[in-house]
Amino acid sequence: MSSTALLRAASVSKHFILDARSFAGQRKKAVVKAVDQVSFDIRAGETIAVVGESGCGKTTLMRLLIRLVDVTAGSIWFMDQEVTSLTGKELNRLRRNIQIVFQDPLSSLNPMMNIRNILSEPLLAHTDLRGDALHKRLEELIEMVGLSKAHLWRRPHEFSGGQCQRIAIARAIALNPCLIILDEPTASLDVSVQALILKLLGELQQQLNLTYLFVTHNLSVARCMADRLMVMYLGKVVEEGPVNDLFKSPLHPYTKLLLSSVPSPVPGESLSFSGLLEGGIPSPVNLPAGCRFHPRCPERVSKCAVQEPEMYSINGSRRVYCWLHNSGIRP
Amino acid sequence: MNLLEVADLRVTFTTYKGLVRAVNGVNFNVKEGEIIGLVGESGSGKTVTALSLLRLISEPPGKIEGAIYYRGEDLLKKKMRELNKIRGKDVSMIFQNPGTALNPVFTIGEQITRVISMHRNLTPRQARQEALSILELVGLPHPGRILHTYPHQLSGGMKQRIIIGIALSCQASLLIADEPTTALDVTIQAQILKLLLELRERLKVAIILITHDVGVAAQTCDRMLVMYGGTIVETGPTAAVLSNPRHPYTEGLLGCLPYQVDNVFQLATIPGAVPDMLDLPDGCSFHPRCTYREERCCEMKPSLFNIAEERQSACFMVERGGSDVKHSTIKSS
Repeated sequence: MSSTALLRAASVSKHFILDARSFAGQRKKAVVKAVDQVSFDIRAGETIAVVGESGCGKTTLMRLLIRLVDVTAGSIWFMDQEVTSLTGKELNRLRRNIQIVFQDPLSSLNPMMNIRNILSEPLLAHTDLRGDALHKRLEELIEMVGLSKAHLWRRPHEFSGGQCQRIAIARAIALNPCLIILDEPTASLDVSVQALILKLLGELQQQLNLTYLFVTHNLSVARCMADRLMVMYLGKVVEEGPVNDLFKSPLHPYTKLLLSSVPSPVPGESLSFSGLLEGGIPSPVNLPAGCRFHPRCPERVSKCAVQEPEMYSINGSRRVYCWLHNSGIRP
Repeated sequence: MNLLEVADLRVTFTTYKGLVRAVNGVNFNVKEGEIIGLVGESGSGKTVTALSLLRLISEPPGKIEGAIYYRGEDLLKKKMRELNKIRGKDVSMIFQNPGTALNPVFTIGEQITRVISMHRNLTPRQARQEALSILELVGLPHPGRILHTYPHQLSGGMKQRIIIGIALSCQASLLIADEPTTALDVTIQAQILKLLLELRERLKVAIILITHDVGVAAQTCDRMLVMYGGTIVETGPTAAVLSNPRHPYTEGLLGCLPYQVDNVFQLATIPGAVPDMLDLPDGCSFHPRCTYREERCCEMKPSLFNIAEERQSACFMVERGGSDVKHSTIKSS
């Protein structure tokens, strides 16, 4: 394995088993392949954005990386250590180095605790900082995210959504982690607040030399935040590559359609309603055979319904899972 | 004659903390078959404006003042019985979350036919036929099967299509759409926006589209109204407002959009936070955050000054710089 990758996921899968009983008492077992054989690297210092529609497995993937759920198959290495089998102290050490910021800022903060206690939790659990030293660190943290010392004594309900997200970010950076996973950090915020939070994240990344895994459904946000973009569809990676290349020349039909669905605020640049994706995302229980996207794909060929596409890589920096490129239909 | 004319609409709520002034003197009109966008951030008063158009705000604690003329008749002066004949028939509404707008214990068919039979004199069989044609109109496959399903069996996009169908089932001439695509994925959002544009062409229905997404407004609306702090700060044809914003708030809002920005540090930000509706600042409600503020902004509330035809901005800078400006200001109360 290469030494430049901070985190490497190799064919990671998570299958949930639905064990439902019908009214007649018949048992039916179904498997939801939430994440299916996903592989990727995160290099130190970069930002990788994972995008896709709801139900594509991006949140499950993120939860797998910090072991909030366990993998069904595959392996994850973090700093040259295999993490899928870690327990106890070693797992604690992993979680010290990977922190997470959740989507809904208000519900990720305990309403019974004041901000001082919320921020000191990770420090008490993982470091020896106590008393004055602890308090000094808390004041430093709260100022790093653009709030003031007086805010430490307040409780979450006294803050706006944007301020709560700042507190969640402060908690995530408290232990100087290597990797921060951001799960839709601005999805519930207004655009003017979103701009402030994104800028804060950008500044912190430069200051603290952080690596971000940015999970989002907002392609515009992904574009301005990320170095690399990974597009997921129904638990699979369909395309991955540097952000600018992907936006300029998307290769996979799904990426193309996803990008063309974003309404542009530029007057005159109108949404191409012609090539719209028809229908919704299929049920993850009864996955289509072959390429998972083929029932909705405007460019499908006969092979797509039969065989799952293999990886096709371009210049070593981009990869796409599509038969159009793989079998030479497209250069 | 305009289809809808809103004159000096004011909505207040009495709360134990004090008087919340949610909408403070909003004026606009809607022509037949036109799509206008009400754009603003949370707390700017766009939803309260929309709800008060059909008096869907409970009074008390709310209080609606001003006038809302629908085809020349003031809706605020109507009795509830008269108003109920207009609601859902001439003026109908769709809401943000398709998951909660449908009743979970009735089938789709029952919910559509209920609206139809309430406003139109049809036999049950005719109502069912009508329901089928509505489902076809909004582009749902297998309408016969969908009539017998319950909301939980359908996806968000399908539910939103049904809600749009119900809203247009009685030949409404005005549709108020409150964030119709916010809860949906971008690909589904594009489908719903396309549907709304098609229905406008076919049924000549006027739409008031409330959204916080400037991109959505840019792609669908003929005109847009930008709201801030319970007032309209800028109006005009969508392209004109977006390419040449004439109010500092609009300018700031557009700068915040992460569209085609390669780097976060290129994003502009608006300093400060949205005003507290319990304690709105004197004068222009944007002045504490405005980089162009002058002395009088803190004392006088600027009214909407005309810049061009159908193009207005509530900013003193426009009053100074514009050629055909109206020299009137409203003293803040």
